[in-house]
Amino acid sequence: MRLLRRSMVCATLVCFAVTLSAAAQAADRVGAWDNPAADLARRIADQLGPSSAHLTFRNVSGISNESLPTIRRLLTDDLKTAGVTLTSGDSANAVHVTLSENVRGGVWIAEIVEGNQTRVVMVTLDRPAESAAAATQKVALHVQAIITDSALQAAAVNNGSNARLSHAVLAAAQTNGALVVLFPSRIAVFDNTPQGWTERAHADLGVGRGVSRDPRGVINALPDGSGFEAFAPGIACSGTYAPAAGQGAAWTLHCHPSDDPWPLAGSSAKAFYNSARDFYTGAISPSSGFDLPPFYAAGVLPNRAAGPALLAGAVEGKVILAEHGELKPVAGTRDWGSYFAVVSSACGAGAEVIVSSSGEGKSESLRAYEIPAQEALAVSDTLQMPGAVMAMSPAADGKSAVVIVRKPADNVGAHEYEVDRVTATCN
Amino acid sequence: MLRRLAIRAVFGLTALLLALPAAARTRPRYGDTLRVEVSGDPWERPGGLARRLVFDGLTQMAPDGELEPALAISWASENNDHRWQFRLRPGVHFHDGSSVTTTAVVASLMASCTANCPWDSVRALATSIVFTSDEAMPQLPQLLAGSEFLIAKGAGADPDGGTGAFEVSGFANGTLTLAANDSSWAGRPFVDAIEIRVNRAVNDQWIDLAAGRTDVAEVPAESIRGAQQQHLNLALAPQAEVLALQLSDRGALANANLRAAIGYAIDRNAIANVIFQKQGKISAALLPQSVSGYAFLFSAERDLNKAHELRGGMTPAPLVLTAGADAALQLTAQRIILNLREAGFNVQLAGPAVRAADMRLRTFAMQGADAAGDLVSVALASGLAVPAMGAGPSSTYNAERELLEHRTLIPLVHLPRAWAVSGRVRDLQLRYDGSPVLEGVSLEAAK
Repeated sequence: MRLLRRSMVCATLVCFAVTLSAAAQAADRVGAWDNPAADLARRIADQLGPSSAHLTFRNVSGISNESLPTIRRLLTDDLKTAGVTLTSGDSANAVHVTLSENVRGGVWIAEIVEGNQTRVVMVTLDRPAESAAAATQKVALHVQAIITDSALQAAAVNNGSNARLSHAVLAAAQTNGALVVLFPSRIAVFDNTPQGWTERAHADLGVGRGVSRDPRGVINALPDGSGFEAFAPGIACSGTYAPAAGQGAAWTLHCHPSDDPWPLAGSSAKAFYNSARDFYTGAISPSSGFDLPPFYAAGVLPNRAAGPALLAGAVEGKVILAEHGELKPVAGTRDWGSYFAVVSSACGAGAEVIVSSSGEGKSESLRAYEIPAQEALAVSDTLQMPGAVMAMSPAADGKSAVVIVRKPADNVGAHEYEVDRVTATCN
Repeated sequence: MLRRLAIRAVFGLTALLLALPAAARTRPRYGDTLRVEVSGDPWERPGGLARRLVFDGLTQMAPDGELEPALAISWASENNDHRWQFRLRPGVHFHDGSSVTTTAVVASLMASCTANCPWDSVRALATSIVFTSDEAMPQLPQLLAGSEFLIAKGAGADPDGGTGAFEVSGFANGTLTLAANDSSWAGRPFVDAIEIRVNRAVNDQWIDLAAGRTDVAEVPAESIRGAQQQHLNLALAPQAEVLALQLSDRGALANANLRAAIGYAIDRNAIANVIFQKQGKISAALLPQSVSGYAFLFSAERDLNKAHELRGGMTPAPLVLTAGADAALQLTAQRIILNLREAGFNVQLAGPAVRAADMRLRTFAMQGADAAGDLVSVALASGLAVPAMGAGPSSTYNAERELLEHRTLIPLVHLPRAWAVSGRVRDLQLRYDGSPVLEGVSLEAAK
């Protein structure tokens, strides 16, 4: 009996919590419905004039049922304000409102029936951004969005063309309080101001340059804080930072054609990049006496018994350690995807490898590993990411990773990019 | 001895690397040949599979249905969309190595658009192409993404003269071979080559897919359910095209009431449920609900009484209906003939080559997410006058209603397009019109 009562109390609490949550979500949206409801009411009133009408209401869109009473109330209030008297069904006029949608967002439609004449008015709504699902992992890995696609688009300075720019994000890095973002056709520096992200400087990479279908790039924040160097296929860029009075900072960006090797994260070594096939060739500069197989990602494990070792994710899928002049395969990497970053934490061995999963779904997860010997051991739960991981690199502080995520947008086939910071903390 | 040990160590390492299970790679792999089978001609206009692989347009539609630059890097309109200027992408070459010039682009556009063009004139101006028209052309950038405006070198339909991700390398034994264009402006495709086996029956395509002899096979709308039951791996564009009946407004159907009666007499449910195995969505709107958001405003209910009323006792001369050779189209045509007979019409089915038909059963592809652009595209493809449109969905709705009120186009069903793919195909995306973006596909290595 006590058990039953406890279950009922629990169920009530859960139900209450769910109701509160739903109510909170619906309340969050109220602001979003205000304008379209007012706009639609105004358009209806323009057609009807001050008269009475019977209002019907239906929803064929993805708007949740919890939001419908709110929208109906807003519309009713706005119609009354506009001089339309709503009746319970004995009016000669009828207004049939349908909350519909297409790939670009909401379409709210009112069919206004006066006698045997029907007129149609519509308003459109931008599709609301999906709220990222709350991470539910126990601890260890934490994700924080640095900048979202919409903020990037808003911040990027339009080049005057009405052609849609590719907004794919190849790489990002934080330095001197700014965010450097490498796109397929430009590199830009953004400042986070009280008014939001603002583009401070940018350089075009050039449209005549050879491009790739799987474009990649790296940004290396210089350790002395003087700026950054960045590389994309066939081009190298540099950014110089100079503190300036009042405005915060001045950035100077230069790009030039280049086939120079790209810097390897956490190392002074550089690796040659095959721009035609989108991978590192395996040739390292300065040469350590042997070449690696072609690889996608690499990082330095600093605290190995025999000194630092280079960890590389080979093109053909294996993960190898270059240590002591030897190539050693790493076991336990079956679930590894193509992206990883080595970060330092105060936990365990002090160096964790944050690795993308091998899933091919719409979203992927990250997991931290340690490699004490030749086997990768998972040391964290998986952290679900809001989309597919497209790039990863250690942050300038060495303690976290900058992760580029491509999220499916609401439009069929569309994607949005987001720059996230993922940090490993002790459990 | 030392040398032997060294060799053993090297071999030991290699063996270990081979024996170790590989981690999953999430990056696309370069190399290999993609094998595709189609039931038709890959060069067929407008939607032949090879055309988009070999040729590019000034603009293109991304898989999300939004417009992207292609051979043009930017564009701008003037004079209320009566004049458009497209800036040509520099440094692009045709497959034969010659540069893509504005003159060549203009020649190609003039050759591809001989009638019912969306523009009055097109000319080269320094590094730009300029379009002008007496009528406003707000949807011109979207229209130029259509496959009918792909840019080819020379005025003819020379299949070697494109700029696309693949170039023709041969045709033998019913197989067209396309080789990767290493200097493609959009980046070298992942696969080295694509082999397109042409004129292959769909059943044979599926057998080849099951036997590992092809990687991509067609799945007609009416076969999607069967493909799902066979657990084929499907890529699907949900509402890629609209099946419509196009009516002549001359001769036996000059009377608009007769044309309207035909619209009321057709049983769309039977077409969608029986012939297309519930894979189609009935609609009396040209644009699918997913594109316009207002398709439900057009009633698709059959009303035989209304059809009789509109016919008003008139008995038109026997009508001729043409449909493509495709089995589903033939069945649909036969079903329509039965429906119309119930409404007092006498209709005969003729082959697609018959030009003097009163009615034509045909499909129109959806190009992208822009409803107005899609509507203009359908209007141009059907030879109808493009209605004037302002901004916003209300304007598009009014234009679509105006277009349909001529009663020369009767939308019937919105249909999906699907492809079945082998397990080694990665990252296959479909455009809005259901055509596969094969230049973005990579292949897993053989295990």
